[in-house]
Amino acid sequence: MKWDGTEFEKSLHNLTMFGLDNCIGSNDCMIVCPVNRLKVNQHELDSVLVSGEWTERVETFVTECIQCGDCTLACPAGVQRDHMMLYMKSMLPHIPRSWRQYYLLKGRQDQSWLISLYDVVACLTAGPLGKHVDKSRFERKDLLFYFGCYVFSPSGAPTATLKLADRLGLDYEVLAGVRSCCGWPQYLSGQMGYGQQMLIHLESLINKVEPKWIVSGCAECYAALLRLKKKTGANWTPLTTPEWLLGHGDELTWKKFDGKMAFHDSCHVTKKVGKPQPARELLTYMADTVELYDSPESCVCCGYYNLHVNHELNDALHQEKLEKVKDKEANGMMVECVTCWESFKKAFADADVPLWDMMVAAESATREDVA
Amino acid sequence: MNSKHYVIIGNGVAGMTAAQELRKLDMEARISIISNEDEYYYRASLSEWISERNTKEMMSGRTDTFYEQMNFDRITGDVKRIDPENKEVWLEDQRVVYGKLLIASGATPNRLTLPGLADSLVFRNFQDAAEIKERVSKCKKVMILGGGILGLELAGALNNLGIENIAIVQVMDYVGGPLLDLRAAAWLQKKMRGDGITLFLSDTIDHVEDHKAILKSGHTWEFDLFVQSVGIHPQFPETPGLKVGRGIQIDNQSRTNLPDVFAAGDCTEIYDVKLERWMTTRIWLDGARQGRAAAYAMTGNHLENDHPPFFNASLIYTERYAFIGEPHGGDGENYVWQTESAFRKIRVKDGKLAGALLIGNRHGMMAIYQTIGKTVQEISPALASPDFRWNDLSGADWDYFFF
Repeated sequence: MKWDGTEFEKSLHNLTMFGLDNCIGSNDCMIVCPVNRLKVNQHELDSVLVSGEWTERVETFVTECIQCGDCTLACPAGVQRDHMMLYMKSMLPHIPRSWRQYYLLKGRQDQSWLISLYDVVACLTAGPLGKHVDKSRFERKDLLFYFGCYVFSPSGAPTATLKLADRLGLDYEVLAGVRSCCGWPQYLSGQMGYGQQMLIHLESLINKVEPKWIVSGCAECYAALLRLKKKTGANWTPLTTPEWLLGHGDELTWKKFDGKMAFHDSCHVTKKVGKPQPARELLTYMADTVELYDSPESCVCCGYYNLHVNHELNDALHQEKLEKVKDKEANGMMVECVTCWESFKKAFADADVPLWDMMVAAESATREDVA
Repeated sequence: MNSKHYVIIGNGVAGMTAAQELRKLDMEARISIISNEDEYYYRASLSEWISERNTKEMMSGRTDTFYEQMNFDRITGDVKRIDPENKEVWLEDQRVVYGKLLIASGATPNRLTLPGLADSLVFRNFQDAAEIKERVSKCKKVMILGGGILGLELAGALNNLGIENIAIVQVMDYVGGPLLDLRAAAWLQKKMRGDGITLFLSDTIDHVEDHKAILKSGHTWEFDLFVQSVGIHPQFPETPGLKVGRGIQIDNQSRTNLPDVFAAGDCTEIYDVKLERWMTTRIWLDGARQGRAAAYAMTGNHLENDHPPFFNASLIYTERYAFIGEPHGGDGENYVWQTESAFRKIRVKDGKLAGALLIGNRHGMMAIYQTIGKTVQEISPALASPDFRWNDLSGADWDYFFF
């Protein structure tokens, strides 16, 4: 690894300056922003960026930004406002309490006693997955399932993924637990150095396995893996869980869900990496799909990445999504990313609308007893 | 007055960027901005204001308290002349003594002075846009003279407003040059005609009588609003000894031939080594870059605008475009990918990516910008497709989506 640990910040600084120079003030970024409840204007942001004098409005807006990237897609001048927001997050005068709580358990080496305690409890309560949590011995395998922090996701995605792999008779290794956090959540809230630290640590763990493919069901983990591959020139290839399972689609016997199923695009996979197709293709095995928006890129974000700083704001995003699903008369919605699932779960449960992680759905649709 | 008084003439992107950089480089210095316009605003979004996508407040470039926070002095007025010998800027009612001076006075639109065009408008600054906005609410038939980027942008804004009768007179045989080449223009012209816009190509005004334009070709067009969009020329105060061509001649650190006098933005021209001639500056991003370089030079620092690949992204007509590097040129391989809603052209020269013109679908544009001048491994028509994975090619830190 050849990074000096500050390259995130440097790139971000360059991008921000380029954005400042290039912005032509159309304000399109702020018009399309799904969380701009304060109606902040772009010039307010740039004034703070230049003068360093924060206003309460701008500070609140920056903490509420969900990093969905709609602003960047909307900009006529090619300004990457989402990255400028990231830069502003890294400059925030105060870190919101909900963020600090969120970081608390995410792999900080200096809090290892806390993590150790967590690991003990986790191993005891996680059933078959328990043995993988923050383990230190790995076997060399071509296929690595990387669950990181989401190993205990209440979506059941990790368990379902491994069941599918077993059903397919695959040989694999598992990397899971908070010590292998990818650092992307920290990064998305402006904690650049912290995120970088996590990513470097993750690389050392991956090197123990020497995989050819790394499969993750979390869009942020997937993004972090892409970044890592690019920075290190690693030989492995990151795959989203739908991408991986699609490669084995014909080896399984599928039963279709009743009615139409909606699909929620992860901002990272669809808007940022530009891969809306694999999940959709996988979906055709198990359901008739109904599109919620005119284009996959128009999909409204789950709102997770302001890290619960304002619940009302995110509730509104979830209600908007539910309305869409109901409008289109879908029997439920599938997601490809566990973060999206966790963000939506309460609203969907309250409304009694089924919400599926795709791996859980696929596992259920390919059970031999139903085939 | 001490040498730490930095005076900037002009409150546009070049002047503002310079002022901001000066403040970064020197926290204590006195920085004065002389301008005849009230505040820093985004000229490039005037069309969005006309089409009511934007409000006046949104166009504003900085907050009300910004000048105060940055400790900038504001002087309102027109600069009449500069006296470099005594280091003075002459305004109508006062003289301002400078230590270092930056001229960033911008450009002014060209005008045709034909009889019958006395009440025609131009499209350059806020007042122009305000007039167009006011007149347009009462008008039905518009004629725009000039099919350049600005004329097309205005046509797009008016079309968005639902004005049905718009005609463009263009002296060349295609619109949008030099941003568009013939093929790209053909694509755009088809789209514009589909929207009901009338294009008079290879044509010009012969004479005007009573709100009716009679063209050289014999075509006629009645109008109740006539907007001229026939280019701009640099404007700057009279300055004895200053070396000028069409604009103030500067080097790549924004220095003029006079000591302690610098210039940046649309009022300047810079020597293009490749083309072996002086070229005026017309691009927002270049204005910002020159303003920044000027601030460095004014404070005794060094920042050279080496020649980064050309980058310009904005609106042409109603479409988003990105013009990157050198997409047009007789030599090299050109690949075009087009649909009804998008036009993408990639040019490769000597195995290296030379340029790109992306309209309607700009997928990968920042990665393409990063890849300019680098070797393209796979030379094929697939390069022009929006699905081509530029990120894998550029390998840079600094690409569209940061991966």
